[in-house]
Amino acid sequence: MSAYALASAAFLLFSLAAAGFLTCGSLVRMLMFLELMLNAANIALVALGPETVSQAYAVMLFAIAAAEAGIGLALIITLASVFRTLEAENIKELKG
Amino acid sequence: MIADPLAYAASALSGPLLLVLTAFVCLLLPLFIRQLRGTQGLIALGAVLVAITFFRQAPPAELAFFSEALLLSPLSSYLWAFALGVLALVIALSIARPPAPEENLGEYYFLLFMAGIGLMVLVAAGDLFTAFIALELLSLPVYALAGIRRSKPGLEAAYKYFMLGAFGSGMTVMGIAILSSLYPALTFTALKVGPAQPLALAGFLLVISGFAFKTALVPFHMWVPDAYEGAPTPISAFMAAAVKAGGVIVLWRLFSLFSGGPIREIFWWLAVVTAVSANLMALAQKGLKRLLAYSSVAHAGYIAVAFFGGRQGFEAVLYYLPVYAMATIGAFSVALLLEKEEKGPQIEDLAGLAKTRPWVAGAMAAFMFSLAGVPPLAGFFAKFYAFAGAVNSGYTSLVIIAIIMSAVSIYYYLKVTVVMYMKPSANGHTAEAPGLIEAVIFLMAAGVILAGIFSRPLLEQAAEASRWF
Repeated sequence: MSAYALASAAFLLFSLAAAGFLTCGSLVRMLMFLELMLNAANIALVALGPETVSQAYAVMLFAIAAAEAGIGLALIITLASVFRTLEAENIKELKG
Repeated sequence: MIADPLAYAASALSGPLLLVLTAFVCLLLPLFIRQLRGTQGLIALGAVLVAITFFRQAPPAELAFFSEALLLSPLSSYLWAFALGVLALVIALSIARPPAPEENLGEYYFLLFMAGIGLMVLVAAGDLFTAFIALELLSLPVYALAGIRRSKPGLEAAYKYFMLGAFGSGMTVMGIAILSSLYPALTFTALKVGPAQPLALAGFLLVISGFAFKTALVPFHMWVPDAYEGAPTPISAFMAAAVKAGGVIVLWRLFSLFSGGPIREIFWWLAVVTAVSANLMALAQKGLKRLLAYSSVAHAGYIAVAFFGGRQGFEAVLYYLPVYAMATIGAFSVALLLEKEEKGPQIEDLAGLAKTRPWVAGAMAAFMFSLAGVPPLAGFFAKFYAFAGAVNSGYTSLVIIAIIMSAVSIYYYLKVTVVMYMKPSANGHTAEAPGLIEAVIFLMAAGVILAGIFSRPLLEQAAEASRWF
């Protein structure tokens, strides 16, 4: 597969994930779409960037994506135990 | 030229390294030594004050390290001093009224320090990828800090901030991926020369929107009111003063890559939409922290106006950031002082403050007038220089819109003052008031007044720093 075909697939995946993030209402699904976005961007980086540098970037991005997933999951677990729900529309304490 | 750049770097980086060390001390030491529990705040404050003294001496030139990933210059020294100052004030507020239960204080200060180091790297970053990693180091801890109380408002604030912040990061990474295919390197100097093709434009747009999320420019501001309202008040102050400053510096670096063209036009619209809509939305707010949140969005808009002033505009931005930080930290400290529930006081709760605490009310009035831009307070000069630069570069219509909107903003800032001075107190204010909060309030009030009347020293510092961009 050529680099450009791979990059196009990554763009497609990114757009799908972004659309999914914006339309779904469950926090767990939103987190999964976020990870998908980051991974799609990572694929695009490896496919398009200059060889060695972008691969080094990609490895650092794994770590960042993992840290983000860690914080996100911790938040979701706490939210689930405090609010007893994970639907975004039911978590509404703050408004104005 | 400096005799030994490496020796200089070692001494300049000892500040951030001290913070890393202290972060781990705060996290781990109380686990082993019982007596130290609850004293993390004092350790943290001491370390920050020591770190501030480390770089009184700015480098005489710009020094690039790690193939231009990190740029040390008078500019970075200025912004580091700013970052450490904000950190010290936030720690002082956290000592006065601990935002987390005692067993979590270690994590609290650890995360706060990590965010502070993220900010320091971010403002000194010389390439886009370093800036992105630093931005993550700045924002990941703040997501957790917003929800550290594990209460309903705090958790809602944290998840909203997290989801939108992470969405912004995703866009930034995609933008970086696109740009890395078009440019030989991602340093800001390498990005300056190069093709302005449509694909590069898409990459820049993605990167800029990612950073605009953190700077809270409309339409990327949806998380701001909820996050500021639900987060612990010292953390709201940190978000307003520090996180925004980091985003502003990177946006400025990206903005100054272009001398014209569509990116500038997009910034023009961002500035206009932000200044107009944030001020209009602020009019309807009842909660003090929510009001300050919309005011922070509006000030991001004014800073975006200053971008158009070229070098003079950047000087104005560097003066604007500490002036805005002083006023907003002061106002959040007043909110913390009167806080009875986690969401912070309503504006109505300030009624009668002029009777019960005349000095605090006077300081709060100074913060409000400074945010509104009333002379002779510092906020007036900050806005004046910010707008003057843009007028000199020929963006008069932009400045007229910003001035009209800042006239609108006087309404809601004045509303707070009127409530304090004209309305009788419905119920008494809390009797206990930690002296440290009042000390921060008076320090900030003195800063807002002195930086206005004697604006010369701070302006000279800002001008010197802006020369090193």
